[in-house]
Amino acid sequence: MSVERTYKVDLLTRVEGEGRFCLVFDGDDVLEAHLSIFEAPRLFEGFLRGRSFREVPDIVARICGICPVAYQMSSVRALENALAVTPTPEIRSLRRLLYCAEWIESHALHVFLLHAPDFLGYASAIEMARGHKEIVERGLRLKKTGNRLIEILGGRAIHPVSVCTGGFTRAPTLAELAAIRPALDEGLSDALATVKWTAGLDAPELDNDYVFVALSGDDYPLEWGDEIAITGRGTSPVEAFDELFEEQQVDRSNALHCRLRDGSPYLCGPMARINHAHDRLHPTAARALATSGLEIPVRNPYRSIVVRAVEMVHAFAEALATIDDYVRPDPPFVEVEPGEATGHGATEAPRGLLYHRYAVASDGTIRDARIVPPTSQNQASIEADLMALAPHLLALDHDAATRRCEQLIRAYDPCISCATHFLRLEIDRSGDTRA
Amino acid sequence: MRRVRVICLGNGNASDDGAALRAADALEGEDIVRAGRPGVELVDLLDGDGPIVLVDVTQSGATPGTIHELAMDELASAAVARPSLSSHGFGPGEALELFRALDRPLPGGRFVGVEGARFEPGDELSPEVEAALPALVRAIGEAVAELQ
Repeated sequence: MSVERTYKVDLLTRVEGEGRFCLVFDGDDVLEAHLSIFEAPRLFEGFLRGRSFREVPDIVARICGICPVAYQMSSVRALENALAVTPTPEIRSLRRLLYCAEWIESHALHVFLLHAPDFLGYASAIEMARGHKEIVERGLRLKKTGNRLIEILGGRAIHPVSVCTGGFTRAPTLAELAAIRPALDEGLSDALATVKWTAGLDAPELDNDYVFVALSGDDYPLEWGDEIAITGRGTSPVEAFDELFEEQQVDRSNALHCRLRDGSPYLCGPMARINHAHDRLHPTAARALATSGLEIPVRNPYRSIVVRAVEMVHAFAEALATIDDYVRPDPPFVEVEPGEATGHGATEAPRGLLYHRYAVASDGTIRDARIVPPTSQNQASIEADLMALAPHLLALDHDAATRRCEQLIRAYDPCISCATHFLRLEIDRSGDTRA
Repeated sequence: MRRVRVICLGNGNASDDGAALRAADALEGEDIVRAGRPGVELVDLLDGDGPIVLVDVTQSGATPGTIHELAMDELASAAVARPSLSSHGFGPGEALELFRALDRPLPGGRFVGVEGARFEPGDELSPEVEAALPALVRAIGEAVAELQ
């Protein structure tokens, strides 16, 4: 007789936002593997309509307190594509620097405070801090430096305000950037130590045959790229997003599930980026990757903690190089005139590909907005991973198996709050309303 | 005279949770930080130079509108840390607990809070908390004067 077993956590912890998961077996068969996102939708796309295109970067920054820069960057890319504006190399360089800062603070938060406690057997970063003070202090130091750099470029650390369509409202002086250089030097050392430390953490075995999706361009994927690379399918233009992927409403989630058009799940984020673009890492990060023992392609999601550490090295090394070559853009923006058009843009948020599309009216108001964040795209892959994990749970007791599932979900660094602004209501005129 | 930073926490779109931000609007000076819900960033805000007046809305079971004034070590003992919650739930209790876990000295300064009644979506304060706003602003001003 088979026995039904259920592993579930009703309120996922150490993630951004609120969700639950449930994995149900009958004997060795998985009956259900669900990630449920019940945080209320926030409908940003709806209230962008009718606002000026000039307001968009400040509004979308409010979607996330951890990765506001990502939302700003994808929005200005899409709007600049729509309005046929090309930012100068100096502006692009400054945007990349700002994005590096966000990767640093976001990855530091996730590696040290959200994910590491799983590897060391603690329920929280606070508990971990009692036994690993130096490690946690290193994480806080890294995060603080990332935030300071965002503040210098963006006016404030959370929801920065300097990014605009066409460039920046203000560019920092060389002296302002030089002042943070020592902290960035220290950060690079801390990040290198983090690669070594995370590479030594004992990670459960898992080898998943993912389809990796990442932005593709000349540099390591970040703020720029006109193509999307998909494992086994080459590259396609960003504006073909809707031909490549399909979003579906599922009952259990306030976020749409995004899949490839053939129905397969895919993975975006640090593992996708490093697998597609490891040859474009900064040489210092490439050396750190080589000495970490991590082999490309990385297919074990538990090892994504090492990839984030390598990406922190990349972000620090690139930030230092950018500051050393800094030329203050004057003026810090390109003039942008409104016009009727539609534009697409994608950049790499810390958690993965972030796609925006805007239709702009001739007076510059937004007619339509579409935002597809990485956690929404990764939901189907998280559920597929839970299915793949199932056989590995048989030998564990119930609590350990549940923790293993949580650790797996946290490997994605899911930003549930970001993912929840997709709910569409379908009003059945007969009176039946369903989400 | 020492520079005193006033750090106001809360969510202006969650009814009484916005009371500290409303108090910030009534304060004058360059050192008013409308921090909102900064998450782990609160650790850095509390780690700055000089004394702090930390302002937040409380849920202690007291009568709504009650003003709470505590030393930082009293707050560290009174605040309930919820160490396993989402990173969005990282507040003063968690931040001070982390300071203690790391053997960092607690930030110098005082905590001033107002007891909230309701926290559902909306930008209006409950009548009790609205009525307590002048007392909250006065208590913040007195704490600043005491620390300068």
